[in-house]
Formats: sequence, C-alpha cells, structure tokens
Amino acid sequence: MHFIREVGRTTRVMIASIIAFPTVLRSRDSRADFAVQLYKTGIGTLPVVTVVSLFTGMILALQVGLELRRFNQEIYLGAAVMITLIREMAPFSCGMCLAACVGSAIAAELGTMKVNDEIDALEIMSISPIRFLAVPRILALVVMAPLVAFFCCVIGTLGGGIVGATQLGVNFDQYMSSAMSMAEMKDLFVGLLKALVFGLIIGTVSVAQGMGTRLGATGVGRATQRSVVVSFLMILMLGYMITRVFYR
Amino acid sequence: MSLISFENVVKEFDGRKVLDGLTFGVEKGEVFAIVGPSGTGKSVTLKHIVRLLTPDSGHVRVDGVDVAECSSRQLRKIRRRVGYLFQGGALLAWKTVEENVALPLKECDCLPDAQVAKRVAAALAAVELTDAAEKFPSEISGGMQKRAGLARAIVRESDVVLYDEPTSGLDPVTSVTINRLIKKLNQKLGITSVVVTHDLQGALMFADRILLLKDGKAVECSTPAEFAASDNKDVKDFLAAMKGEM
Repeated sequence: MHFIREVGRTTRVMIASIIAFPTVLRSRDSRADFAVQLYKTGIGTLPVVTVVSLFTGMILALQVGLELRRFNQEIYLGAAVMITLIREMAPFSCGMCLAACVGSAIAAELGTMKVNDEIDALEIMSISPIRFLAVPRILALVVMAPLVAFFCCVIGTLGGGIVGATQLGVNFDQYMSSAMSMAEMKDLFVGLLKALVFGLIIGTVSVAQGMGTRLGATGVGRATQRSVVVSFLMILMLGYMITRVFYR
Repeated sequence: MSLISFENVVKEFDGRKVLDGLTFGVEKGEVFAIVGPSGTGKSVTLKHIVRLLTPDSGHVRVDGVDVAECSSRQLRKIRRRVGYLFQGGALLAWKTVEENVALPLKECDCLPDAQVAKRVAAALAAVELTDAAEKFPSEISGGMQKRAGLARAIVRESDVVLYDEPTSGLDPVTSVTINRLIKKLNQKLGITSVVVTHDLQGALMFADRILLLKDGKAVECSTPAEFAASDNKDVKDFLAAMKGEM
C-alpha cells in the first residue's frame, strides 16, 4: 500500500512538473534560479563525472582489449569501447553520478525545507512549490543529463584510447578511426534519450522524496537515501527497457 | 459573526485525538492568544485556518467561508488575506532577507519592481529590520529571522496574521520586542492576530483574549484580567505551572 502511494505521489509530481515546465521562463527570478540549477547539475558534477567516465573507459578498454588480443582483433578496440559507452555506459555512469551528486542534494535540500516549514510557507503565500522548487531542479536535470552523458562518452573514449595506446599497443589514430567508423547516429540518439529519461526520473524521485519528508532530521536522511536507491533501481530498469525497445 | 471560527473541530493523528470538539471564535481586529501545555494542539489549530490541515469533522470558517470545503480560488483569496509566522521564520536560505520578504509580491502578485521595493522597505521598517535587508538568514539571529518572517507575513498587507510560537527559543529581551511588535502591528495596521504561545506573561500583556487549550478542548476563553482571576481549575493549574517555570 505504501509502495503504491509513493508511486502515485511521484507520478503526480512528474506530471505537475512537466505541465509547469514553461513557467521556468516566466520571470527574471525564475530564469536566474533555473540557471543556478543548470550550473549545479552540469558544471558542479563535472569533476566526479570526469573521473568516473575516464576510469569506466579505461576499464572497458582493458577488459575488452585483452579478449580482442587473443583473436588479434585489437583494431576493433575503439569501436567496442565507443559503442558500449555511447549505448549504455555513458548514460548509465552519468545517471549514477547525477543521482548520487545532484539527486541526493535535491532530496536533502527539499527535505530540510519541508521540516523547517519553508514549503508550507510557500503554500500559504500561494506560491506553488512544484513551480517554484521542483520545476527548475527537474528541468535542469532533463537538460543537463544528455550533455553530461555526451561528455562521459567523450572522456570514456579518450580513457579507452589511453589504455589502448599505452598497454595494448593500439595506435591512438587507429583507435579513434575504429571508434568513429562503427558508431551510428542511432546509438547516439538512443544514448542521449536514455540520459534524458534518467534525468527526468532522478529529478522527479528526488523532489518527491524531499517534499514528502517527515519526522525531522531522521526523515531527511531517509528521504536522501531513498532518492538515491530508487533512482539507481529506476536507471537500471529503464535502461534495460529502452535498450529492449530500440535494439531488438 | 466572528472573522475566524472553529465549530466542534476534531482532528486525529494515528488514532490520537489532538483536537476534540474545539469551538471558539476570533473577532476582527483583536489579538487572540492560544496558550496551553505542549501537545495540546495549538499549532495544529493554527494550521487549520489556512488549510495546511483539514479537520476530520467540524468546521473552520474564515469570514464565513468553510476553509476545508472551499474551492482553490477561494482558498487563494483566504491565504491572500492571511500572513503566517512560523516558529523558525521559515525563510528561504538562499535568498536575502529582502528577497524573502519580496517573494510573495514577486511570485504571486507579480508587482512591478519599484512597488515591490517600496512595500518591502515599509515591511522591514515596520519590524525594525531595515539594516539586515541584504543579509542571508544564516547571517542573522533567531529573533531577527522571526522579525523577517513577520515582515514577509505583513508585506501583502494581510488583515490577519497567525503567529506560531513567535517567542520560542528567544531571550527575554527579544521576546518582549516581538510581543511589542505584535501589539504595535495590531494597533497601527489593525491586523487581527492569532498567537500560539507558551509565553503567558507576553500573552497577558498583548492579547485582547486568551484561550486555554487542554487535550484538544477549549478550557477557558476570556480577557487577560478574567483569565488571571479565573476560578477554573485547569486555568489555575496552568497559571501555577507557568509561575513555577518563571
């Protein structure tokens, strides 16, 4: 019963936020708030995303490269790394980083606001918390997640190239030419679509958990934890479903 | 007809009756204090007036409109008339005092910048907080945060202000300042005030009438002089307990 209530609440937050997306451009203040959220979501997560995606690409290149070497097929290392990154690993790593860095912060911030009566204060002033708090945060994730995923892909591919050149004897130019020749536009679009969906899910789950916080500081901790766990699970499940739809 | 009226209001949380048939009325222009021990439903009572909570049974009316039953448009109208000062001030941490006070004018009333600036300056002057306009909530004291919250509550020229424990956690000097401010706003602007408080001394000083709540019921509702001289056992016990505390 509790699970159904939570799903219902999260869905309501998502629908109300999507309907209110255009209001983010309504006034100078709301545009400024949105710009701050874009910065926090995009630029703020770059250090973590860079490290995660670099090592993801390096691990991928090492594991795949060692297997390819057994068959003297190292020339395909670039293609293997690029396709894996662009289709799955880049949106996945991006989703994980955003859920951990941004989603958790949103849940904690809104949870604290809830227990400090700030959200009730907005309601009494007839300011919609969805429009004022949820929309800039969710929309920033929707806009930035595909860009961050693309960045992940670039950095991961570079990481794979470094491993290929230094440990597997694959020339960097050869690696890049293999990478660019095999990847298709469809792969890029599906990867970016996944990231966009992940951004929407992370934002919605985090906002819903934050705004539903009860029982003081303990509740804030619980909401933060739940936002990360639920986002991770949703990223995995939706990632599979989108792959299933586009790659039968 | 009372401006705000509670008629036989019952509210339960997890099977525990917090309000149990609560009935009282607040007249226009008066300062109405609600006192009582912790957990007797004082803040819950206040939240019913602006539909942050709805009664399980009974009616809460503001100017004759049933708050629980009214449309969202009517609710907006009621909330437009009511300012609410929360215990901690409930200021947004990432906005300055000035921006916090300007929030309802900009986000809800969509007033031009010049008018917003004028109204904000007047509200901050009314609570004697002009010097802290540029500061963030974390940079000012608890008492100043409450005054900033009060400025936000009156900036829309509300005719009713609800105070939830306005002096809790404050030193005696700041408490007196806040209590004087409540009285001053009532006298100067004619604001109807409903004040939930533990500060009985303050209530005796600024209130026109005092309501004592016990176990979610109204035990006594009278003027400060009548309250202090009441024969009611619960009032006597409460007064004795408060004297003991002081």
